[in-house]
Amino acid sequence: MRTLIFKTAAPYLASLMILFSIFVLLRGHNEPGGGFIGGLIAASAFAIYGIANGVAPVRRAMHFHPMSVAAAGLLMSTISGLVSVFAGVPFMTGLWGSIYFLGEKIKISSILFFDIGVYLVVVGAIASIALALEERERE
Amino acid sequence: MFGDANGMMMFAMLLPFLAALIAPKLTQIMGSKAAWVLALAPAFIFLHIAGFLPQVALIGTSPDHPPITGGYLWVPEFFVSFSWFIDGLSATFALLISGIGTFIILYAGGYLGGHAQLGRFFSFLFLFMGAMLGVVLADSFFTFFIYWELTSITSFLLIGFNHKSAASRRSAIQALVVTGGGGLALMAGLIVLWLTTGTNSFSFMLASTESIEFYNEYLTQSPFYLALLLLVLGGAFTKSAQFPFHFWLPNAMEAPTPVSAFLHSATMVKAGVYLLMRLNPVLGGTTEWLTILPVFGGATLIIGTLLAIRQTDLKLMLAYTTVSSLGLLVMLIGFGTEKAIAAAVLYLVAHSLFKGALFMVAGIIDHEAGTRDITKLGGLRKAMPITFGAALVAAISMAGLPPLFGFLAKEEIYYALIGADAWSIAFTVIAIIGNGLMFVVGFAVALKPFLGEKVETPKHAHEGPPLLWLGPVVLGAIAVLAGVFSSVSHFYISNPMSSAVWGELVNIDLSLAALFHPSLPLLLSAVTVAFGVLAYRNIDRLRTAIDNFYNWFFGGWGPDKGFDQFISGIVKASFAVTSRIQTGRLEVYMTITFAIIALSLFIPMWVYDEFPAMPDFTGEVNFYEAAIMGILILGLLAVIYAKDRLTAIVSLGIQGFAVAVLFMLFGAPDLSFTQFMVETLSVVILALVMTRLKLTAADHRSWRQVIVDGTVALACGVGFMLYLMRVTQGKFDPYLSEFFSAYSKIIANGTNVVNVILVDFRGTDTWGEIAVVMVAGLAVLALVRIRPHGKVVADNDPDAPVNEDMLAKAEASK
Repeated sequence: MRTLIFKTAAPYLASLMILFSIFVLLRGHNEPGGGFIGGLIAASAFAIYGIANGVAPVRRAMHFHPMSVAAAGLLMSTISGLVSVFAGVPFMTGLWGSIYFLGEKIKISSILFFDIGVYLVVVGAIASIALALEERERE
Repeated sequence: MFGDANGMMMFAMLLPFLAALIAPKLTQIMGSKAAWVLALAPAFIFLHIAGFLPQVALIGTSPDHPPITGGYLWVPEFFVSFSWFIDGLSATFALLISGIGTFIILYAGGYLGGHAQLGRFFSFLFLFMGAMLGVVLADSFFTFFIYWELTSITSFLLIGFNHKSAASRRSAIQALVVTGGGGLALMAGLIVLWLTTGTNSFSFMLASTESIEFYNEYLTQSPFYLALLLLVLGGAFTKSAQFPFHFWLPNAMEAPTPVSAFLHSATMVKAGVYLLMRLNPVLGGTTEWLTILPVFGGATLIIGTLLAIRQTDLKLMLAYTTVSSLGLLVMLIGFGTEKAIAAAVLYLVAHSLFKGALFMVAGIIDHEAGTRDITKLGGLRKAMPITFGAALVAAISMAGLPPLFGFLAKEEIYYALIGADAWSIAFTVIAIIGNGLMFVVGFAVALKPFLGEKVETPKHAHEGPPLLWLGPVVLGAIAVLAGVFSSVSHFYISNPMSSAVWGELVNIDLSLAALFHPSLPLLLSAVTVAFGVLAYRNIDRLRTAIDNFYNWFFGGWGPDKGFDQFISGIVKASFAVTSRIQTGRLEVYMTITFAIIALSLFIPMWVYDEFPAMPDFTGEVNFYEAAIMGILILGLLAVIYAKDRLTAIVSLGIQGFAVAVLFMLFGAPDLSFTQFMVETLSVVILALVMTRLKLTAADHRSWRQVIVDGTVALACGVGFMLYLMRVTQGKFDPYLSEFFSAYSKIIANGTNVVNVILVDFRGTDTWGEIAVVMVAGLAVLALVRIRPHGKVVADNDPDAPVNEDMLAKAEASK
């Protein structure tokens, strides 16, 4: 499988896929997409990169252990669910606000952070399974 | 919170648990002297409960004096409350628990002084004390049952305190299995009681004479009465060590002596008796009650005393007499007369006092002389005069001699049992034999080690510290005072308690004056004493005779051995079952799982005759839809006829993609999107797993296997198809889809309904699911890392630094 073309193209393909996955994640609330799908796309990006160029570069690129990424995602989702409790409304109630960025009004919500958490959990868990399977045994 | 009367009671009930919390730290700081501080907790509880006595004494004398209740709502939706209920019965029990508990704590400080685990021991003792207080004070069935189980668990912890000894561990498990098994029966019994009566509160049932009469009639007429009775008796008989469940109690003597004195004589083993007494007004009086209880109680009484004489270990002798005393109590409760109940009450109080004291004495002897074997002890009276005195007083009470409280108890027993019919005569004879033999054991424990010639003991014996002898001395003194001032003890203790058990006011007027009025019971007492003295003089001969008979009769088998056989039988059976079901072969698991899926699809459809109607094929099919179908079928054929596994996996991917396209065509872009990604990743991961597992490239199965697997696969596929067709043919309830479409934008600010449901409307579900994804990922990671032959994957270690040499080598090898 490790053809020269694949090896050369894989990093660019993976980067594009990850970029696309973030796009899918962010548009999810109004258009088809969301954290789960985004996470799956990003996980496949890492899997492809790993198949083409070996696991070690992927791990280096991710910097954190994929499981830590997943755990951080779960923590993030939990916190964004809990925020509403401190605001005096039931657990998991969406809170909305908006900020101005470069003159654009951007709506920010606890829901968005929840979705990002979902994304991270899916990326982390699936990528860590895929990478573990891709690793070669060393005698 | 603790300002009002409710709060004070709550505090008193929680105090033992608080003490359990601080005991280890305090013991670390103060050593065994911590006992003096810790004993304040039960002493406070004792005083608090004693404060209720004037009120308790008046319960039932007029409608203005109902039982004392209080508490807090806990789960009002399920009628669960944290509530308590104080009448004569629970007050007396609570006083015994806290009063004897005070001295047990002190005694434990002396007995285990310097033991490295003393703090832990205190902690367990307090946990038990809190649980036991809860049992006798609980009003709601639920809290009662939880406390009941907690006593079994703490008893397990205390019996297994010397956890390095195999005998301790075995005894602890045995006690837990027997009492825990009974606990299950009790739970079922309480549920039946609750469902039959509609109340889960003792105080509600026992509120007044009228309500007791109502519930008694209602329950005894109920078709569930026998089941209810047997279940409750299952709990009570195991807890109170009635034959044939008596064997765990002598084995529980593996526990340190303070535990034996507290749990296994004075308090916990009486929980079953407490339960019977508590329910006597509403469940008693029937033929079943009046037959089962006396028969089992009487059998336990005789068997217990005979086995007690057979022993030479002081603690075991006392343990078996505890078994027989519990039998006597059950027998009296089941006799079902006012006098019998009064006798049971008097005997219960007397027994707690003298048996607790005798156990502590046995512990002192063991502690100071180094042995508990009665044949190796003698002449200690000079070395341990205080202990000797306390032992003598307790033994006199146990033997039922004046002026001790035990005398009153035994007189009352004979008053209760005397009758002209065969039934009464039989139980009178049983009582005489039982009491006579207990007389023997009591004096054997109290006299044998102290009288006679001085025998050399493993340790040089001398009097123990006050921490040790304080308990037996005070308990002995109370037994004397309660006997001498019987009008006071009757007024505050015996009468209220008997009234609570009997369900109507009971007035006991028996006092030491009975000694001067010739009567039949007095004569029977004299007969008992004569029999006891005769047996005591021949104790060695008696022991040999019983021993021989026992060995001849059982041939080494007994309920204790039966328990071992039962346990090893369970282990063998579960091993046999497990080795058949859990073969360790993935194929078998998969086949079973999918076969069950297929069955659970077909069976309901078949049972309820819900097969789908034949679908309508007349609709127009577009060209591209037909093309997708074609790809699906091609993919399927490719999977089936694939020469090697990799082809099959990829062909499966074709199928999945085709399905994803179908989703897209029918307007579900999110679903389609996800399906694409899931399919891609499945193919990648399956292919990786395949190479990882080093499977053969091709899939070789026997034709028989092919038929089995093919059938299961077809059944699942067809099952799902029929099921989905049936579901879509049903009436569609658009409520949810309309709700989500209508409110997605308004409430949740999102137009993608699918995603809004995922992250907002049903966000908590998603939250749970990502936690599952996370855990599943961890599990897979752990599985992948397991290697046979101890091989290690180094670059799988996330904490290892990235090894540049390795990378270069890996690059080069590509």
